[in-house]
Amino acid sequence: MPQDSPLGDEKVDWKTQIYEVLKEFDVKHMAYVPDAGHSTAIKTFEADRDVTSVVLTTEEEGIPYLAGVSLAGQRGVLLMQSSGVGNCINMLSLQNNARFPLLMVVTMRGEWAEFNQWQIPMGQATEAALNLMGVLTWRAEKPEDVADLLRGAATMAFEGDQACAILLSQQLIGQKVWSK
Amino acid sequence: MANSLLKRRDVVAELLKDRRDMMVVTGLGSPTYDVMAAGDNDRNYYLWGAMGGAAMVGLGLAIARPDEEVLVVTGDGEMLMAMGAFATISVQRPKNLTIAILEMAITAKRLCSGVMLVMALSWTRSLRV
Repeated sequence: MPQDSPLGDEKVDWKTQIYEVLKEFDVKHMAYVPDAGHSTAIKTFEADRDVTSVVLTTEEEGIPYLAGVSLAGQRGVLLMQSSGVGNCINMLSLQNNARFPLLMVVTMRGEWAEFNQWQIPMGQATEAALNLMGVLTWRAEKPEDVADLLRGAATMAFEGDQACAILLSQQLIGQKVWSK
Repeated sequence: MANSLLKRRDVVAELLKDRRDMMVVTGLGSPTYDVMAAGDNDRNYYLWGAMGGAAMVGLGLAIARPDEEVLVVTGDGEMLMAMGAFATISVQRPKNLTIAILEMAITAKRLCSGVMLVMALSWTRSLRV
C-alpha cells in the first residue's frame, strides 16, 4: 500500500507503537476495560513487570485510579472504547479541579462501518462530550499519525497537567477487527 | 435504639487518632468534613465531588506507594455508587489499603447526626470502633 493511500501506511505497526510511546513517557500504570481494539497494548502491558495493569469494572474508575497514581508521583494511562467515555463524564470533574495529568487512548466505535447501532449514539458524541468536560482531543486516522499524536498528547498531559485523549478512528482500527 | 447511635465526628476522630503517617482519602460530603475536623494534615486528600471515586483514588495511591498505609473514609452513598470498585480492588489485593464506610443515619428528627455503623474492609487488619 503506497503512503498516499487514504488509509495511510499500513506497514506502520501503530498498535505496538502505542505501548512504546507510553513507555518513553515512563508510564507505570495501565488501567483498562477489556477491548479488542486495544488488545495489543493490553497484552504487551500485562506482560511488562514494570507496569501495573488494572482491569476496571467501568471506565469511570480509571479517572480516580490515575488521580491516586498521580498523587503518588507516578504516571498512568487509561485505555477504553468510545462507549466508555460516556461512563466517565462526571468523574472528569476530579481532573478538572485537581489538574492532575490524565491521558486516555480511546478506540472509536459507531463512526464508520459500524454493524452495531447501539454503538452509534455514544460514538457520535464521544469527542464533543470529552471537549465539553475540558478534555483535549486528537483524532488518529492513519497508522503513521498514531505515535506522533500520542507523543504530543502525553507531553501535554504529563508536563502540562492537562486531560488529553487520543481517539483511534474506527477506519484506522479496521472493520475486520469487529466480528459478530 | 436511637440513643445508641454513634457520633460521626467522634468516630472519625477516634479512627484517625493514631494514624501516624497514614495517607487518608475522603469521599465527598460529610466524611470530608469529619476528617478535616479531626485535624488537617498534608497527607489528607479531600474529595468534594466526583462521587464514587474515593476508593479508586485510594487504590491508585496504595499501589503506587506499596510501603505506605492508605485509608479511605467515605459514606455509604458514595461507596454504593461504586460497588464495582470492590471487584477491581479485589483483583489487585493491595495489602496497604483500608476502606472505612460511614453509614449515615438520616431521619426527620436527626439529620445526619450519627453513625450507625462503621464498616472496615482491610487486607491487613480489622478496625473496631
